[in-house]
Amino acid sequence: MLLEKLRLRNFRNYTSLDIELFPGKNVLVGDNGQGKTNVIEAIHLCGTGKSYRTPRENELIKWGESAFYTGSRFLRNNDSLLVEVAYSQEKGKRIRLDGVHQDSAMEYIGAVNIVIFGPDDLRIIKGGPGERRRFLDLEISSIYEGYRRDLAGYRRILSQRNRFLKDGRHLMNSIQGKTALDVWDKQLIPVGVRIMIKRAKIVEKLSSLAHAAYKEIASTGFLKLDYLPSFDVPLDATHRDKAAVIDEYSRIFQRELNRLKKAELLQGITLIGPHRDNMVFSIDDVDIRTFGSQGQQRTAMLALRLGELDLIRNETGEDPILLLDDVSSELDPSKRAHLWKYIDGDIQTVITATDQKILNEFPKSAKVFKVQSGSIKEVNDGSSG
Amino acid sequence: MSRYVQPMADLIEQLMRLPSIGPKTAQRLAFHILKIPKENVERLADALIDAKNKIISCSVCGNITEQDPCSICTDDRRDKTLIAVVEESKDVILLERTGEFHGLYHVLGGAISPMDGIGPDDISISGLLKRLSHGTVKEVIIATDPNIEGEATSMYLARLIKPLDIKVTRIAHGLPVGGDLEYADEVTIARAIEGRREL
Repeated sequence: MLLEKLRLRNFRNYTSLDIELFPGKNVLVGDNGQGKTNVIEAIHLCGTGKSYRTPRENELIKWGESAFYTGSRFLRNNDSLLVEVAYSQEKGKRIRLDGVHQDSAMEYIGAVNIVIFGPDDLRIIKGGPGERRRFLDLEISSIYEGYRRDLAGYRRILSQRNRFLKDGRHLMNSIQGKTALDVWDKQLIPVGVRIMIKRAKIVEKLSSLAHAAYKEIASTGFLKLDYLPSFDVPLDATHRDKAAVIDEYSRIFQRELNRLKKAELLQGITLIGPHRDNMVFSIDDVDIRTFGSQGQQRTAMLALRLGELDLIRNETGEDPILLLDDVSSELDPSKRAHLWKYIDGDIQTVITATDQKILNEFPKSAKVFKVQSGSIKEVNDGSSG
Repeated sequence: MSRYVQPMADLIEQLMRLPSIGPKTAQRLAFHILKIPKENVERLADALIDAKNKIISCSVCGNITEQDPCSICTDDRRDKTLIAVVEESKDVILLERTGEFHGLYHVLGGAISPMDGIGPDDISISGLLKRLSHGTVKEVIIATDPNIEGEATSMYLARLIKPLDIKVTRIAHGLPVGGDLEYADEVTIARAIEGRREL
Protein backbone atom coordinates (compact mmCIF):
# COMPACT_ATOMS: atom_id res chain seq x y z
CA MET A 1 0.00 0.00 0.00
CA LEU A 2 1.34 3.40 -0.97
CA LEU A 3 0.08 6.93 -0.39
CA GLU A 4 1.03 8.90 -3.49
CA LYS A 5 -0.71 12.24 -3.08
CA LEU A 6 -2.42 14.05 -0.26
CA ARG A 7 -4.71 17.03 -0.70
CA LEU A 8 -6.12 19.05 2.19
CA ARG A 9 -8.58 21.94 2.06
CA ASN A 10 -9.44 23.91 5.18
CA PHE A 11 -8.25 21.03 7.35
CA ARG A 12 -7.00 22.08 10.81
CA ASN A 13 -4.37 24.78 10.17
CA TYR A 14 -4.08 24.10 6.41
CA THR A 15 -5.98 26.28 3.96
CA SER A 16 -4.75 24.42 0.93
CA LEU A 17 -2.14 21.69 0.79
CA ASP A 18 -1.05 19.36 -1.99
CA ILE A 19 1.92 17.08 -1.41
CA GLU A 20 3.39 14.08 -3.16
CA LEU A 21 4.83 11.40 -0.95
CA PHE A 22 7.86 9.23 -1.42
CA PRO A 23 7.42 5.42 -1.43
CA GLY A 24 9.98 5.11 1.40
CA LYS A 25 10.46 7.42 4.37
CA ASN A 26 8.84 10.84 4.48
CA VAL A 27 9.95 13.18 7.24
CA LEU A 28 7.95 16.20 8.30
CA VAL A 29 10.25 18.59 10.15
CA GLY A 30 9.07 21.67 12.00
CA ASP A 31 8.66 23.34 15.36
CA ASN A 32 5.79 22.41 17.64
CA GLY A 33 2.38 23.76 16.68
CA GLN A 34 3.18 24.16 12.98
CA GLY A 35 0.90 21.35 11.74
CA LYS A 36 2.99 18.17 11.52
CA THR A 37 0.58 15.98 13.46
CA ASN A 38 -2.34 17.42 11.47
CA VAL A 39 -0.92 15.73 8.36
CA ILE A 40 -0.61 12.43 10.26
CA GLU A 41 -4.18 12.86 11.45
CA ALA A 42 -5.43 13.50 7.89
CA ILE A 43 -3.71 10.38 6.54
CA HIS A 44 -5.04 8.28 9.43
CA LEU A 45 -8.52 9.70 8.82
CA CYS A 46 -8.42 8.14 5.34
CA GLY A 47 -7.85 4.71 6.88
CA THR A 48 -10.63 4.71 9.43
CA GLY A 49 -13.01 7.50 8.44
CA LYS A 50 -12.55 8.87 11.94
CA SER A 51 -10.03 11.15 13.61
CA TYR A 52 -7.96 9.46 16.29
CA ARG A 53 -7.63 12.75 18.14
CA THR A 54 -11.23 13.89 18.48
CA PRO A 55 -14.72 12.45 18.07
CA ARG A 56 -15.96 15.89 16.92
CA GLU A 57 -15.40 16.41 13.20
CA ASN A 58 -16.19 20.08 13.66
CA GLU A 59 -12.80 20.57 15.30
CA LEU A 60 -11.06 19.44 12.11
CA ILE A 61 -12.39 22.41 10.14
CA LYS A 62 -10.03 25.36 9.77
CA TRP A 63 -11.01 28.20 12.07
CA GLY A 64 -13.61 30.47 10.45
CA GLU A 65 -14.51 27.99 7.67
CA SER A 66 -17.57 25.73 7.43
CA ALA A 67 -16.19 22.60 5.75
CA PHE A 68 -13.02 20.58 5.23
CA TYR A 69 -11.93 18.19 2.50
CA THR A 70 -9.19 15.55 2.38
CA GLY A 71 -8.34 13.58 -0.72
CA SER A 72 -5.72 10.83 -0.76
CA ARG A 73 -4.53 8.97 -3.80
CA PHE A 74 -3.36 5.47 -2.80
CA LEU A 75 -1.82 2.62 -4.72
CA ARG A 76 -3.35 -0.63 -3.49
CA ASN A 77 -2.42 -3.97 -5.12
CA ASN A 78 -1.00 -1.79 -7.91
CA ASP A 79 -4.44 -0.23 -8.44
CA SER A 80 -5.06 3.43 -7.93
CA LEU A 81 -7.59 4.27 -5.18
CA LEU A 82 -8.90 7.72 -4.33
CA VAL A 83 -10.18 8.14 -0.77
CA GLU A 84 -12.05 11.34 0.02
CA VAL A 85 -13.25 12.27 3.47
CA ALA A 86 -15.09 15.56 3.78
CA TYR A 87 -17.16 17.19 6.46
CA SER A 88 -19.36 20.24 6.37
CA GLN A 89 -21.46 21.69 9.16
CA GLU A 90 -24.45 21.56 6.85
CA LYS A 91 -24.14 18.11 5.29
CA GLY A 92 -22.11 16.23 7.88
CA LYS A 93 -19.48 13.67 6.95
CA ARG A 94 -19.12 12.20 3.47
CA ILE A 95 -16.72 9.43 2.53
CA ARG A 96 -16.09 8.48 -1.10
CA LEU A 97 -14.01 5.65 -2.57
CA ASP A 98 -13.08 6.35 -6.17
CA GLY A 99 -16.01 8.74 -6.28
CA VAL A 100 -18.51 6.23 -4.88
CA HIS A 101 -20.30 7.43 -1.78
CA GLN A 102 -19.98 5.15 1.28
CA ASP A 103 -23.05 4.87 3.48
CA SER A 104 -21.22 4.59 6.75
CA ALA A 105 -17.73 4.63 8.18
CA MET A 106 -18.39 1.03 9.25
CA GLU A 107 -18.77 -0.13 5.70
CA TYR A 108 -15.68 1.77 4.74
CA ILE A 109 -13.08 0.65 7.31
CA GLY A 110 -10.53 -1.64 5.78
CA ALA A 111 -10.14 -0.08 2.32
CA VAL A 112 -6.79 1.35 3.40
CA ASN A 113 -4.64 -0.08 6.18
CA ILE A 114 -2.68 2.33 8.30
CA VAL A 115 -0.66 1.76 11.45
CA ILE A 116 0.08 4.70 13.71
CA PHE A 117 2.47 5.12 16.62
CA GLY A 118 2.39 8.33 18.60
CA PRO A 119 2.26 9.99 22.02
CA ASP A 120 -1.46 9.14 22.42
CA ASP A 121 -0.73 5.43 22.16
CA LEU A 122 0.13 4.82 25.79
CA ARG A 123 -3.54 5.05 26.75
CA ILE A 124 -4.00 1.64 25.13
CA ILE A 125 -1.78 0.15 27.83
CA LYS A 126 -2.52 2.60 30.64
CA GLY A 127 -6.19 3.33 30.03
CA GLY A 128 -9.25 1.27 30.90
CA PRO A 129 -10.28 -2.00 29.21
CA GLY A 130 -12.44 0.03 26.80
CA GLU A 131 -9.31 1.48 25.18
CA ARG A 132 -7.94 -2.00 24.55
CA ARG A 133 -11.25 -3.26 23.18
CA ARG A 134 -11.39 -0.27 20.84
CA PHE A 135 -7.87 -1.02 19.64
CA LEU A 136 -8.69 -4.70 19.03
CA ASP A 137 -12.00 -3.98 17.33
CA LEU A 138 -10.50 -1.43 14.95
CA GLU A 139 -7.65 -3.81 14.20
CA ILE A 140 -9.85 -6.83 13.50
CA SER A 141 -12.50 -4.77 11.67
CA SER A 142 -9.92 -3.45 9.24
CA ILE A 143 -9.02 -7.02 8.28
CA TYR A 144 -12.32 -8.93 8.52
CA GLU A 145 -15.57 -7.63 7.09
CA GLY A 146 -17.66 -10.21 8.93
CA TYR A 147 -16.32 -9.02 12.28
CA ARG A 148 -17.54 -5.50 11.56
CA ARG A 149 -21.08 -6.78 10.98
CA ASP A 150 -20.97 -8.95 14.08
CA LEU A 151 -19.88 -6.00 16.22
CA ALA A 152 -22.74 -3.84 14.95
CA GLY A 153 -25.22 -6.68 15.48
CA TYR A 154 -23.89 -7.42 18.95
CA ARG A 155 -24.23 -3.78 20.01
CA ARG A 156 -27.83 -3.66 18.85
CA ILE A 157 -28.79 -6.91 20.59
CA LEU A 158 -26.99 -5.73 23.73
CA SER A 159 -28.92 -2.43 23.76
CA GLN A 160 -32.22 -4.31 23.39
CA ARG A 161 -31.29 -6.78 26.11
CA ASN A 162 -30.13 -4.03 28.50
CA ARG A 163 -33.34 -2.12 27.94
CA PHE A 164 -35.34 -5.25 28.69
CA LEU A 165 -33.34 -5.83 31.89
CA LYS A 166 -34.18 -2.27 32.95
CA ASP A 167 -37.79 -1.96 31.86
CA GLY A 168 -39.02 -5.53 31.69
CA ARG A 169 -37.91 -6.92 35.03
CA HIS A 170 -41.43 -6.80 36.44
CA LEU A 171 -42.37 -9.38 33.77
CA MET A 172 -39.84 -11.87 35.07
CA ASN A 173 -42.26 -13.63 37.38
CA SER A 174 -44.11 -15.07 34.42
CA ILE A 175 -43.09 -17.70 31.89
CA GLN A 176 -43.63 -15.07 29.18
CA GLY A 177 -41.15 -12.75 30.86
CA LYS A 178 -38.50 -15.44 30.97
CA THR A 179 -39.09 -16.16 27.30
CA ALA A 180 -38.88 -12.44 26.51
CA LEU A 181 -35.39 -12.34 28.02
CA ASP A 182 -34.41 -15.60 26.41
CA VAL A 183 -35.03 -14.32 22.87
CA TRP A 184 -32.24 -11.79 23.43
CA ASP A 185 -29.88 -14.35 25.00
CA LYS A 186 -30.38 -16.66 22.05
CA GLN A 187 -29.25 -13.89 19.72
CA LEU A 188 -26.53 -12.43 21.96
CA ILE A 189 -24.72 -15.72 22.47
CA PRO A 190 -23.92 -16.79 18.88
CA VAL A 191 -22.73 -13.31 17.83
CA GLY A 192 -20.86 -12.84 21.12
CA VAL A 193 -19.12 -16.18 20.76
CA ARG A 194 -18.02 -15.39 17.19
CA ILE A 195 -16.52 -12.11 18.42
CA MET A 196 -14.75 -13.83 21.33
CA ILE A 197 -13.20 -16.53 19.15
CA LYS A 198 -11.97 -13.94 16.65
CA ARG A 199 -10.48 -11.82 19.43
CA ALA A 200 -8.81 -14.84 21.04
CA LYS A 201 -7.20 -15.84 17.75
CA ILE A 202 -6.05 -12.35 16.81
CA VAL A 203 -4.61 -11.60 20.27
CA GLU A 204 -2.65 -14.83 20.07
CA LYS A 205 -1.21 -13.93 16.67
CA LEU A 206 -0.58 -10.34 17.72
CA SER A 207 1.14 -11.54 20.88
CA SER A 208 3.72 -13.62 19.06
CA LEU A 209 4.34 -10.90 16.45
CA ALA A 210 4.66 -8.17 19.08
CA HIS A 211 6.95 -10.45 21.08
CA ALA A 212 9.24 -10.85 18.06
CA ALA A 213 9.35 -7.09 17.54
CA TYR A 214 9.97 -6.47 21.24
CA LYS A 215 12.89 -8.87 21.24
CA GLU A 216 14.59 -6.81 18.54
CA ILE A 217 13.97 -3.43 20.14
CA ALA A 218 14.47 -4.15 23.83
CA SER A 219 17.45 -6.03 25.16
CA THR A 220 15.63 -8.05 27.78
CA GLY A 221 12.19 -9.25 28.72
CA PHE A 222 9.44 -11.42 27.25
CA LEU A 223 6.44 -9.42 26.01
CA LYS A 224 3.13 -11.22 25.98
CA LEU A 225 -0.47 -10.24 25.27
CA ASP A 226 -3.30 -12.17 26.83
CA TYR A 227 -6.94 -12.05 25.90
CA LEU A 228 -9.02 -11.85 29.04
CA PRO A 229 -12.68 -12.57 28.32
CA SER A 230 -15.36 -11.45 30.76
CA PHE A 231 -15.96 -15.06 31.82
CA ASP A 232 -13.70 -18.10 31.90
CA VAL A 233 -13.43 -20.13 28.74
CA PRO A 234 -10.66 -22.52 27.72
CA LEU A 235 -8.66 -20.26 25.39
CA ASP A 236 -6.50 -23.02 23.95
CA ALA A 237 -9.77 -24.43 22.63
CA THR A 238 -9.60 -22.09 19.64
CA HIS A 239 -7.18 -24.55 18.06
CA ARG A 240 -9.67 -27.38 18.20
CA ASP A 241 -12.59 -28.12 15.88
CA LYS A 242 -14.48 -24.89 15.24
CA ALA A 243 -18.00 -26.24 15.69
CA ALA A 244 -17.02 -27.89 18.99
CA VAL A 245 -15.47 -24.65 20.27
CA ILE A 246 -18.54 -22.61 19.33
CA ASP A 247 -20.64 -25.20 21.15
CA GLU A 248 -18.51 -25.14 24.26
CA TYR A 249 -18.28 -21.34 24.45
CA SER A 250 -22.02 -20.97 23.87
CA ARG A 251 -22.77 -23.42 26.66
CA ILE A 252 -20.54 -21.58 29.11
CA PHE A 253 -21.91 -18.18 28.05
CA GLN A 254 -25.48 -19.38 28.63
CA ARG A 255 -24.59 -20.97 31.98
CA GLU A 256 -22.96 -17.74 33.15
CA LEU A 257 -25.91 -15.64 31.99
CA ASN A 258 -28.23 -17.90 33.97
CA ARG A 259 -26.01 -17.65 37.02
CA LEU A 260 -25.93 -13.85 36.84
CA LYS A 261 -29.56 -13.32 35.92
CA LYS A 262 -30.61 -12.02 39.35
CA ALA A 263 -27.75 -9.52 39.48
CA GLU A 264 -28.40 -8.42 35.91
CA LEU A 265 -32.06 -7.76 36.61
CA LEU A 266 -31.13 -5.86 39.74
CA GLN A 267 -28.59 -3.66 37.95
CA GLY A 268 -30.44 -3.47 34.64
CA ILE A 269 -27.38 -4.24 32.51
CA THR A 270 -25.70 -7.20 30.84
CA LEU A 271 -22.76 -8.09 33.06
CA ILE A 272 -20.79 -10.45 30.82
CA GLY A 273 -19.94 -10.70 27.15
CA PRO A 274 -17.43 -9.27 24.67
CA HIS A 275 -18.38 -5.73 25.74
CA ARG A 276 -16.66 -6.51 29.06
CA ASP A 277 -13.54 -8.16 27.65
CA ASN A 278 -10.00 -7.08 28.47
CA MET A 279 -6.47 -7.63 27.20
CA VAL A 280 -3.38 -7.80 29.42
CA PHE A 281 0.17 -6.72 28.48
CA SER A 282 2.87 -8.45 30.45
CA ILE A 283 6.65 -8.49 30.42
CA ASP A 284 8.15 -11.58 32.04
CA ASP A 285 4.65 -12.36 33.35
CA VAL A 286 4.32 -9.03 35.15
CA ASP A 287 1.32 -6.86 34.19
CA ILE A 288 2.94 -3.69 32.86
CA ARG A 289 -0.23 -1.60 33.11
CA THR A 290 0.32 -1.39 36.86
CA PHE A 291 3.90 -2.53 37.36
CA GLY A 292 5.71 -1.43 34.19
CA SER A 293 7.94 1.64 33.86
CA GLN A 294 6.98 4.37 31.40
CA GLY A 295 9.88 3.21 29.19
CA GLN A 296 8.70 -0.41 29.23
CA GLN A 297 5.18 0.68 28.35
CA ARG A 298 6.41 2.80 25.44
CA THR A 299 8.58 0.01 24.05
CA ALA A 300 5.78 -2.52 24.49
CA MET A 301 3.42 -0.18 22.66
CA LEU A 302 5.83 0.26 19.78
CA ALA A 303 6.27 -3.52 19.63
CA LEU A 304 2.47 -3.87 19.52
CA ARG A 305 2.27 -1.45 16.60
CA LEU A 306 5.00 -3.31 14.73
CA GLY A 307 3.20 -6.56 15.48
CA GLU A 308 0.05 -4.95 14.08
CA LEU A 309 2.01 -4.07 10.95
CA ASP A 310 3.17 -7.66 10.51
CA LEU A 311 -0.34 -8.97 11.21
CA ILE A 312 -1.87 -6.77 8.50
CA ARG A 313 0.85 -7.84 6.11
CA ASN A 314 0.25 -11.53 6.89
CA GLU A 315 -3.53 -11.35 6.71
CA THR A 316 -4.01 -9.01 3.74
CA GLY A 317 -0.80 -9.67 1.82
CA GLU A 318 0.05 -5.99 1.68
CA ASP A 319 2.14 -3.60 3.72
CA PRO A 320 0.17 -0.99 5.60
CA ILE A 321 1.35 2.62 5.73
CA LEU A 322 3.20 3.45 8.94
CA LEU A 323 2.77 6.80 10.66
CA LEU A 324 5.25 7.71 13.39
CA ASP A 325 4.32 10.82 15.32
CA ASP A 326 7.10 12.43 17.33
CA VAL A 327 9.14 9.27 17.85
CA SER A 328 12.23 11.16 18.98
CA SER A 329 10.50 12.25 22.15
CA GLU A 330 8.88 8.83 22.57
CA LEU A 331 11.95 6.63 22.13
CA ASP A 332 15.64 6.97 22.96
CA PRO A 333 18.26 6.82 20.16
CA SER A 334 19.12 3.15 20.63
CA LYS A 335 15.43 2.11 20.47
CA ARG A 336 15.02 4.28 17.39
CA ALA A 337 18.00 2.58 15.73
CA HIS A 338 16.26 -0.77 16.25
CA LEU A 339 13.04 0.68 14.90
CA TRP A 340 14.66 1.96 11.69
CA LYS A 341 16.25 -1.43 11.22
CA TYR A 342 12.93 -3.15 11.76
CA ILE A 343 11.09 -1.10 9.15
CA ASP A 344 13.96 -0.93 6.71
CA GLY A 345 12.00 -2.82 4.06
CA ASP A 346 9.57 -1.30 1.61
CA ILE A 347 7.13 0.05 4.15
CA GLN A 348 6.07 3.58 3.38
CA THR A 349 6.53 5.66 6.51
CA VAL A 350 5.59 9.20 7.48
CA ILE A 351 7.61 10.54 10.40
CA THR A 352 7.27 13.81 12.26
CA ALA A 353 10.19 15.41 14.10
CA THR A 354 11.16 18.77 15.52
CA ASP A 355 14.83 18.25 14.76
CA GLN A 356 16.21 17.63 11.29
CA LYS A 357 19.03 15.62 12.85
CA ILE A 358 16.75 12.57 12.86
CA LEU A 359 17.62 12.23 9.17
CA ASN A 360 21.14 11.18 10.08
CA GLU A 361 19.68 8.07 11.67
CA PHE A 362 18.39 6.61 8.41
CA PRO A 363 20.64 4.48 6.30
CA LYS A 364 18.53 5.09 3.19
CA SER A 365 17.28 8.24 1.53
CA ALA A 366 14.18 10.03 2.69
CA LYS A 367 11.99 12.82 1.43
CA VAL A 368 12.00 15.83 3.71
CA PHE A 369 9.18 18.32 4.15
CA LYS A 370 9.59 21.53 6.10
CA VAL A 371 6.42 22.39 7.99
CA GLN A 372 5.80 25.97 9.01
CA SER A 373 2.51 27.49 10.17
CA GLY A 374 0.19 25.59 7.87
CA SER A 375 2.36 25.38 4.80
CA ILE A 376 4.73 22.66 3.66
CA LYS A 377 7.85 22.95 1.54
CA GLU A 378 9.74 20.04 0.06
CA VAL A 379 13.34 20.40 1.11
CA ASN A 380 15.18 17.72 -0.82
CA ASP A 381 14.43 14.55 -2.63
CA GLY A 382 17.72 12.78 -2.38
CA SER A 383 19.83 11.13 0.21
CA SER A 384 20.31 12.59 3.63
CA GLY A 385 23.31 10.59 4.64
CA MET B 1 -41.07 29.22 8.93
CA SER B 2 -41.93 32.65 10.31
CA ARG B 3 -41.52 34.19 6.87
CA TYR B 4 -44.62 32.42 5.58
CA VAL B 5 -48.18 33.65 6.07
CA GLN B 6 -49.92 31.65 8.77
CA PRO B 7 -52.02 29.23 6.62
CA MET B 8 -48.94 28.37 4.56
CA ALA B 9 -46.83 27.83 7.66
CA ASP B 10 -49.56 25.57 9.10
CA LEU B 11 -49.71 23.50 5.91
CA ILE B 12 -45.92 23.03 5.82
CA GLU B 13 -45.88 22.11 9.48
CA GLN B 14 -48.59 19.45 9.00
CA LEU B 15 -46.84 17.98 5.98
CA MET B 16 -43.57 17.78 7.88
CA ARG B 17 -45.20 15.52 10.43
CA LEU B 18 -45.48 12.81 7.77
CA PRO B 19 -42.73 10.21 7.65
CA SER B 20 -39.77 10.82 5.32
CA ILE B 21 -40.86 14.40 4.63
CA GLY B 22 -38.37 17.05 5.66
CA PRO B 23 -38.67 20.84 5.55
CA LYS B 24 -37.67 21.13 1.89
CA THR B 25 -40.06 18.45 0.61
CA ALA B 26 -42.83 19.91 2.78
CA GLN B 27 -42.28 23.34 1.22
CA ARG B 28 -42.34 21.93 -2.29
CA LEU B 29 -45.54 20.00 -1.60
CA ALA B 30 -47.18 23.05 -0.04
CA PHE B 31 -46.38 25.24 -3.06
CA HIS B 32 -47.64 22.47 -5.34
CA ILE B 33 -50.93 22.33 -3.44
CA LEU B 34 -51.37 26.12 -3.86
CA LYS B 35 -50.80 25.82 -7.59
CA ILE B 36 -53.21 22.95 -8.46
CA PRO B 37 -56.97 23.48 -9.08
CA LYS B 38 -59.16 23.70 -6.02
CA GLU B 39 -61.12 20.53 -6.98
CA ASN B 40 -57.94 18.48 -6.86
CA VAL B 41 -57.14 19.80 -3.42
CA GLU B 42 -60.65 18.96 -2.26
CA ARG B 43 -60.34 15.46 -3.65
CA LEU B 44 -57.07 15.00 -1.75
CA ALA B 45 -58.60 16.31 1.47
CA ASP B 46 -61.68 14.09 1.03
CA ALA B 47 -59.51 11.05 0.36
CA LEU B 48 -57.57 11.69 3.56
CA ILE B 49 -60.70 12.04 5.69
CA ASP B 50 -62.45 9.16 3.93
CA ALA B 51 -59.54 6.78 4.43
CA LYS B 52 -59.30 7.72 8.06
CA ASN B 53 -63.05 7.31 8.64
CA LYS B 54 -63.69 4.14 6.68
CA ILE B 55 -60.60 2.08 7.27
CA ILE B 56 -60.53 0.02 10.44
CA SER B 57 -58.45 -2.92 11.49
CA CYS B 58 -59.95 -6.39 11.19
CA SER B 59 -61.01 -7.69 14.59
CA VAL B 60 -59.72 -11.15 13.64
CA CYS B 61 -56.39 -10.67 11.87
CA GLY B 62 -55.55 -7.02 12.49
CA ASN B 63 -55.16 -6.18 8.81
CA ILE B 64 -56.61 -2.90 7.52
CA THR B 65 -60.10 -3.30 6.09
CA GLU B 66 -63.32 -1.51 5.23
CA GLN B 67 -65.65 -4.19 6.61
CA ASP B 68 -65.07 -6.30 9.69
CA PRO B 69 -64.00 -9.12 9.48
CA CYS B 70 -61.86 -8.41 6.43
CA SER B 71 -62.27 -9.92 2.97
CA ILE B 72 -59.40 -12.37 3.52
CA CYS B 73 -60.72 -13.70 6.84
CA THR B 74 -64.20 -14.22 5.32
CA ASP B 75 -62.99 -15.77 2.04
CA ASP B 76 -64.12 -19.44 2.03
CA ARG B 77 -61.59 -20.42 -0.62
CA ARG B 78 -58.66 -19.69 1.68
CA ASP B 79 -56.88 -22.36 3.70
CA LYS B 80 -58.03 -21.83 7.28
CA THR B 81 -55.45 -24.24 8.68
CA LEU B 82 -52.57 -21.95 7.76
CA ILE B 83 -51.71 -18.54 9.25
CA ALA B 84 -48.88 -16.23 8.18
CA VAL B 85 -47.77 -13.87 10.95
CA VAL B 86 -46.45 -10.51 9.72
CA GLU B 87 -45.39 -7.27 11.39
CA GLU B 88 -47.41 -4.75 9.36
CA SER B 89 -50.40 -4.57 7.00
CA LYS B 90 -48.09 -3.64 4.14
CA ASP B 91 -46.47 -7.06 4.52
CA VAL B 92 -49.86 -8.67 3.78
CA ILE B 93 -49.98 -6.81 0.46
CA LEU B 94 -46.46 -8.06 -0.36
CA LEU B 95 -47.37 -11.68 0.35
CA GLU B 96 -50.68 -11.38 -1.51
CA ARG B 97 -48.91 -10.07 -4.60
CA THR B 98 -46.90 -13.28 -4.85
CA GLY B 99 -50.11 -15.23 -5.37
CA GLU B 100 -48.34 -18.13 -3.65
CA PHE B 101 -49.96 -17.95 -0.26
CA HIS B 102 -53.56 -18.98 0.21
CA GLY B 103 -53.85 -19.15 3.98
CA LEU B 104 -54.91 -16.48 6.47
CA TYR B 105 -52.88 -13.68 8.03
CA HIS B 106 -52.17 -12.26 11.42
CA VAL B 107 -50.84 -8.70 11.62
CA LEU B 108 -48.87 -8.10 14.84
CA GLY B 109 -48.61 -4.34 14.41
CA GLY B 110 -44.88 -4.27 15.08
CA ALA B 111 -42.05 -6.33 16.55
CA ILE B 112 -40.71 -6.77 20.08
CA SER B 113 -38.23 -3.95 20.72
CA PRO B 114 -37.47 -2.92 24.31
CA MET B 115 -35.57 0.14 23.01
CA ASP B 116 -38.80 1.43 21.49
CA GLY B 117 -40.82 0.43 24.55
CA ILE B 118 -42.52 -2.41 22.67
CA GLY B 119 -42.93 -5.58 24.70
CA PRO B 120 -44.84 -8.79 23.87
CA ASP B 121 -48.01 -7.27 25.30
CA ASP B 122 -47.83 -4.26 23.01
CA ILE B 123 -48.24 -6.22 19.79
CA SER B 124 -51.13 -8.49 18.88
CA ILE B 125 -49.81 -11.75 20.34
CA SER B 126 -52.71 -12.57 22.66
CA GLY B 127 -55.06 -12.14 19.69
CA LEU B 128 -53.03 -14.69 17.75
CA LEU B 129 -53.05 -17.18 20.63
CA LYS B 130 -56.81 -16.82 20.91
CA ARG B 131 -57.20 -17.65 17.22
CA LEU B 132 -54.96 -20.69 17.63
CA SER B 133 -56.94 -21.98 20.61
CA HIS B 134 -59.90 -22.82 18.31
CA GLY B 135 -57.95 -25.82 16.99
CA THR B 136 -58.45 -25.19 13.26
CA VAL B 137 -54.94 -23.95 12.58
CA LYS B 138 -52.30 -26.61 11.80
CA GLU B 139 -49.36 -24.43 10.85
CA VAL B 140 -48.13 -20.92 11.66
CA ILE B 141 -45.62 -19.35 9.27
CA ILE B 142 -43.70 -16.57 10.97
CA ALA B 143 -42.84 -13.91 8.41
CA THR B 144 -41.48 -11.12 10.60
CA ASP B 145 -38.52 -9.11 9.26
CA PRO B 146 -35.13 -10.89 9.26
CA ASN B 147 -33.56 -8.31 11.61
CA ILE B 148 -32.75 -8.52 15.33
CA GLU B 149 -36.22 -7.42 16.46
CA GLY B 150 -38.03 -9.62 13.92
CA GLU B 151 -35.92 -12.61 15.01
CA ALA B 152 -36.66 -11.96 18.68
CA THR B 153 -40.38 -11.79 17.89
CA SER B 154 -40.27 -15.02 15.87
CA MET B 155 -38.44 -16.88 18.65
CA TYR B 156 -40.88 -15.59 21.23
CA LEU B 157 -43.87 -16.71 19.15
CA ALA B 158 -42.32 -20.11 18.46
CA ARG B 159 -41.88 -20.73 22.20
CA LEU B 160 -45.51 -19.86 22.87
CA ILE B 161 -47.02 -21.75 19.94
CA LYS B 162 -45.04 -25.01 19.97
CA PRO B 163 -46.61 -26.31 23.23
CA LEU B 164 -50.03 -25.98 21.52
CA ASP B 165 -49.02 -28.78 19.15
CA ILE B 166 -49.15 -26.54 16.11
CA LYS B 167 -46.37 -26.59 13.52
CA VAL B 168 -44.33 -23.38 13.55
CA THR B 169 -42.21 -22.43 10.56
CA ARG B 170 -40.06 -19.43 9.74
CA ILE B 171 -39.77 -18.03 6.22
CA ALA B 172 -36.34 -18.79 4.75
CA HIS B 173 -33.79 -16.03 4.49
CA GLY B 174 -30.94 -16.14 2.11
CA LEU B 175 -29.95 -15.17 -1.35
CA PRO B 176 -32.18 -12.97 -3.47
CA VAL B 177 -33.49 -14.57 -6.67
CA GLY B 178 -31.49 -13.38 -9.65
CA GLY B 179 -28.70 -12.36 -7.29
CA ASP B 180 -25.07 -13.24 -7.65
CA LEU B 181 -23.36 -15.24 -4.90
CA GLU B 182 -20.36 -12.99 -5.30
CA TYR B 183 -22.27 -9.91 -4.20
CA ALA B 184 -23.97 -11.37 -1.13
CA ASP B 185 -22.51 -10.60 2.30
CA GLU B 186 -21.12 -13.31 4.58
CA VAL B 187 -24.07 -13.30 6.98
CA THR B 188 -26.56 -13.79 4.16
CA ILE B 189 -24.53 -16.62 2.64
CA ALA B 190 -24.15 -18.28 6.06
CA ARG B 191 -27.92 -18.05 6.58
CA ALA B 192 -28.55 -19.43 3.12
CA ILE B 193 -26.31 -22.43 3.86
CA GLU B 194 -28.04 -22.94 7.20
CA GLY B 195 -31.42 -22.96 5.49
CA ARG B 196 -30.40 -25.18 2.56
CA ARG B 197 -32.72 -27.92 1.39
CA GLU B 198 -32.37 -31.22 -0.35
CA LEU B 199 -33.01 -31.38 -4.07
